[in-house]
Amino acid sequence: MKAGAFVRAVEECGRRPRAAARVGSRTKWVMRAAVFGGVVGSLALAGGDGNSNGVVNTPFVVFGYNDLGMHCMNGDYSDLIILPPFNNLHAQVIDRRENDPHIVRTGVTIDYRIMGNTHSSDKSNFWQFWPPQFGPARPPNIGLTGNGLRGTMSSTGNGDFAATGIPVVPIDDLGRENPYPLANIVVKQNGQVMARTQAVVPVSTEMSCYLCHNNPGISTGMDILLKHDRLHGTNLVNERPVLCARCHADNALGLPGDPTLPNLSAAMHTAHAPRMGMIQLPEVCYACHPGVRTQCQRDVHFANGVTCTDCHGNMLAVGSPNRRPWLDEPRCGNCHTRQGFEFEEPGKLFRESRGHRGVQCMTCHNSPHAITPTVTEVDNVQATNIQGHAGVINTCTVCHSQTPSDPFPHRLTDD
Amino acid sequence: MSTKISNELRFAVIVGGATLIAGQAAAQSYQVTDLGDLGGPMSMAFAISPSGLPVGTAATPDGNLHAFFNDAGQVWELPPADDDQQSWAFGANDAGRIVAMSFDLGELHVHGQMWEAGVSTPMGNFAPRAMNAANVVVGYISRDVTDMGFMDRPAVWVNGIIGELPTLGGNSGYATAVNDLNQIIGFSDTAGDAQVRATLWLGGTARNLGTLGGTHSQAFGINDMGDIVGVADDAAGRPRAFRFQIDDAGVVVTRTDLGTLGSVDSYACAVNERGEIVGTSNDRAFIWFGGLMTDLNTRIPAGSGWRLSRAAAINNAGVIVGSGWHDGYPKAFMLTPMLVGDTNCDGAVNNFDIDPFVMALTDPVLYATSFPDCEILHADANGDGVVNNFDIDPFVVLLSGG
Repeated sequence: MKAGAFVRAVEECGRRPRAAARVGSRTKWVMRAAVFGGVVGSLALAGGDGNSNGVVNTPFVVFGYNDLGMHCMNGDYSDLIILPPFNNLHAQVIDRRENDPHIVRTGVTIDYRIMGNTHSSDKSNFWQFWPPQFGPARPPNIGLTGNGLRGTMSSTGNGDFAATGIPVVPIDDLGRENPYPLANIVVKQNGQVMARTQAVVPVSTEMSCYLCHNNPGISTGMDILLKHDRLHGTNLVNERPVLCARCHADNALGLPGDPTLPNLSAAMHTAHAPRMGMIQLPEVCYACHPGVRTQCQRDVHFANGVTCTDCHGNMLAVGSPNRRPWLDEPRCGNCHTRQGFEFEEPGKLFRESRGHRGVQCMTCHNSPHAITPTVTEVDNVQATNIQGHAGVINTCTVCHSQTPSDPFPHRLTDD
Repeated sequence: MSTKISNELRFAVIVGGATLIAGQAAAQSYQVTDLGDLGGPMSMAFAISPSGLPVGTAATPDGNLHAFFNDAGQVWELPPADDDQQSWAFGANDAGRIVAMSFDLGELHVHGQMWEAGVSTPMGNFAPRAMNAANVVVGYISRDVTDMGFMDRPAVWVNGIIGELPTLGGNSGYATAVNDLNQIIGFSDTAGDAQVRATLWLGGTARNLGTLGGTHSQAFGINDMGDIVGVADDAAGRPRAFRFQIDDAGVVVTRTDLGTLGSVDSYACAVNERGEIVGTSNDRAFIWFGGLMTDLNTRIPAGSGWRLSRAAAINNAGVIVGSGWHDGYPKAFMLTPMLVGDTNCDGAVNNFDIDPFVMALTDPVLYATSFPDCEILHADANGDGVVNNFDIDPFVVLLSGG
């Protein structure tokens, strides 16, 4: 799809137009010489070193992806805690040196680091309000699982590698908001770089509770707790900071909560569903899920006019007590039907499924809510770097030394 | 309090001094000002010009964040470039220029803007982070690097010309500040991207400024005296605010761990020519001077409703800007040093301050009514955060020019 088509698609579905996806070209920079007086002195010239063919030429090829396409976190933890800074970055490695490429499962180290975002504890007060339910408090800039903003991934046992619980926040080291920071991923074998890539580690604090909870003189969190106390006879204002999942079960955190109470997702969606008319937003989900600025739903579906509720249902459906939050999610096969194609593995979600000899679905398609080609440039970086154009990884020679003569098998098994 | 006692206090102030402690230094108190908004609920301040023009970003009614500056209480919007949705201002100087980043979330390139007299000049894909008096702007550019992907590179902008600065051998880096001697600091990757190190650029070359015994460091502020501040890991791996002092050749001659405010980590953001350093620790804004780190939340009027989280910049007049929480929202603040002893707020400490001082001691409510624009902490002559009889002697010192 051409860039112009993206712009049209976005405009046609009534959203603000975003910059078109960068397709098939890599910017060449030719920096001008700059000669200044004094101590600034002479400056290095930038190279004009673009990759001419856009297809990887390293022994391995690595694909990075986030598991959800967006992770939310509180902007302030002093009153209540919904979600901590916690991001999961995955990578799958393919050895492409022979005609029959295969997944690399052992014998490599995969390092990651978030570019320009190397610390969090000065940008979030999570470490000041670390709740005991999360275990002993970790040092600054270290997340719940012990990972930091740079480190080494571990094998998941599912054919890929992951670093979980990365405590990245959406403010870079220069102070600018960036909910789509890039992680640099480097694969080494015996100390030699075998492949590298870049993947988005999306995170946002844009849970805009203040749109409704905005009583002058008190914080948004206090307003929420006061209303909860009034409606449910609790005394949360005196128990701050309140971890919501302490009482309301939350699969995202793996906390069981009080079994007599609705889970957090059900409680939130059913309580707020009748009140959403108070907010005048084109996409009402962005009142709580990031967000008006972030617009985390940025993928090819969005570009083609698919809305949140088209896949997830309305708030009452999402808040159904029979739904298992984070586990009962939309399936590709609900909408996509194509002769000879198979989609998710039985009993698994897109983000867990594999096909084509164990290749993760996300390896080729990217993360949920960021299925390529996206309307955001940054989510297209990986595909563009790897195969020379944005979109699904559909260039066979990214992994195969030659293009196979057989039709591509979009199936769970491929023998 | 009775009139008799008030008169006794007044007498004590007028004739006092017998118990004065010569040279007693008072900790500075500040007037806190909300820098305003653009119709939305949040704002942040990142820089202040030498003459006191604060700049930052603030939410608009539609939820986007646009750059702003506050000129004597009037908030002015600096909108993003065409097709962008967000803008953040990071630098201002007394030549009347403001630099800002304009961008869209999720896009790769930032579009720099140089504002002057309400007119924006595009700076290309240069992302400005700071500017000095001579309009030398430092920041970074993002570019595609063969087999590496997109990388941010430190860069400088002078009169429309962008020059990329070298890294310490790694693939990315950022220039974060420049002083009026055109010394540039920031941070960059070392070879193999193994470490991030505070970096000084002199004569076009990058110098590794080292750490406090750990692995990583970043520099965020520099003054003309050779004080460089930022954050560096100590030997235990804890991020600590630092001050490195360099000599004329750019060699680090002293390294100081500035301590913390009760947590294990701290981050220094800026330093002025007086050597006052500001930053954040334990989610509280601090000022460091003379070996002492002070929580700025203890230096503003009690009951202000502010929680100051981060002090981002300080000018040579000691005016501080940053971000905190007020009325439940993230807000940009400005802290203006109070002229201690100037209890009638006429800009001078003299005998006309005696009666207001006594009033502040004896009847704070009446003082607040009589001097509504004057914080009572002007009477906090000993700088302990409260106004009481212990302020009498230091006040006399101030009156007598001690």
